[in-house]
Amino acid sequence: MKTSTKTLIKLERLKKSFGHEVIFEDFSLEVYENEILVIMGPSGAGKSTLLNVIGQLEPYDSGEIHYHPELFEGIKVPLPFVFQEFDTLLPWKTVEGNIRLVAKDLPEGELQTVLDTVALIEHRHKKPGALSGGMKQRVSIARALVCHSKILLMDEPFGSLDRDMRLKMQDFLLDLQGRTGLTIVLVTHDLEEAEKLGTRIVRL
Amino acid sequence: MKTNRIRYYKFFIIVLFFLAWEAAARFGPFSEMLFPGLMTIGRRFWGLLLEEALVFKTLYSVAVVWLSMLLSLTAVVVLLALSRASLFIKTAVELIRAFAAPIPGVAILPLVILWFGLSRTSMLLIMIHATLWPLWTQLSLAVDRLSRRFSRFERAYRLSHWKRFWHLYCLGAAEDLKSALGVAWSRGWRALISVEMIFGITGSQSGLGWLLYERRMYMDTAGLYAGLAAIALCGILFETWIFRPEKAGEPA
Repeated sequence: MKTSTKTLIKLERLKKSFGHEVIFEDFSLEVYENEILVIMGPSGAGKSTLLNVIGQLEPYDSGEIHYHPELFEGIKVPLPFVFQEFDTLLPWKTVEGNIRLVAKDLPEGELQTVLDTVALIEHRHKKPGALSGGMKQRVSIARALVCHSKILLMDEPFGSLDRDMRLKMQDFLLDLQGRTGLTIVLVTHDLEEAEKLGTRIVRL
Repeated sequence: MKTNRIRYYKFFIIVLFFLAWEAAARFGPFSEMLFPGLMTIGRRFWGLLLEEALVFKTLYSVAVVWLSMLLSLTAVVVLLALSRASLFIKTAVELIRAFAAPIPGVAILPLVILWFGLSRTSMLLIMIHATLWPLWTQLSLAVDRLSRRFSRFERAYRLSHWKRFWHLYCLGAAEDLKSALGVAWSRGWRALISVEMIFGITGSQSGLGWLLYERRMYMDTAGLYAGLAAIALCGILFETWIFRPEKAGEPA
């Protein structure tokens, strides 16, 4: 998928600190449409904090963030996340229940399409406990896809998977992005993963 | 296989206990007034059942415990909602819990009687005190755990209050609720029997504790044992069957 030059999110001279500890300062960044932007850096560098700030889960101290109005037009969840931990799936709900939790009025046809996209069509009635790590993460991705957002924020999404599964999921993500044209902001500390997935790589 | 063996052992132990009891009653040095045989206790148990006294008083006691648990649960849900909204309220409730939870219900009875007299209100207050804190302790821990786990998810996906309340917290804490109700039942049941028996505050129409108190007054020792058996059977029924925690490997 060809990357556009349309800017979806623009961070200008952003500063974030916890108490006296400055996490990042004077930080600027643009996220372009259709790209996979990888934010990487060592543990504790503030990658997840930056993603939380971009996803409006955490406030920042100073600077500005501009979001393209298209991101919010008619969309209830404009900045959906895929988290590293699988346990943000509700173990007492089925795959379908977990997806419908964020999109109650999801038409059956669309649910089937999404489940087909993430290759979970025959697992829709299973609970997360009966799925492998990779399958759980695909449910998380499906849950984000049904929000119809133009962007997906992924916080070390494959960090909990073993190497084989991680490679498969990376291929799956590249294929998904190629088919849907989603813009993805992905946090990782794995250089190999960053180089494989990233259209651009930003180091913290 | 092991479960079957345990069942067999339990049956064997109960038979041994009954035999020892009967032997002590028949050949022991105790008067029948103090130590009646199993047949006498059984006949008295059956007699009380036919008189409907045992059934009525058991149902009454169970209903009081359930009512107090329902009121306590309602209070806990409200307190949890307020605690989520305000750290001050959460700290205040935790502080009160730290002081109040270790006090047995019976210990505050004299004070409650001073304030509210020998009334059903007094009994209900004692019961709420006995059941509220176990429910609060377990459910607040469950809510904290779920909140930590789903905090980013619920904010990122902008879940409505209803979805958070029902789908995340109520369904997520279902197993904790069952276990909390089990502890609350256990505390409430013991408190109720003690309150009814020691103080006899709620009149002749009430509870198993009162039945024990009454039987003691009439020196009806067999009736006393029949009442104790009813209390034990209720305890087994609720603690072992209704509020039994899920074993590892069982479906949630």
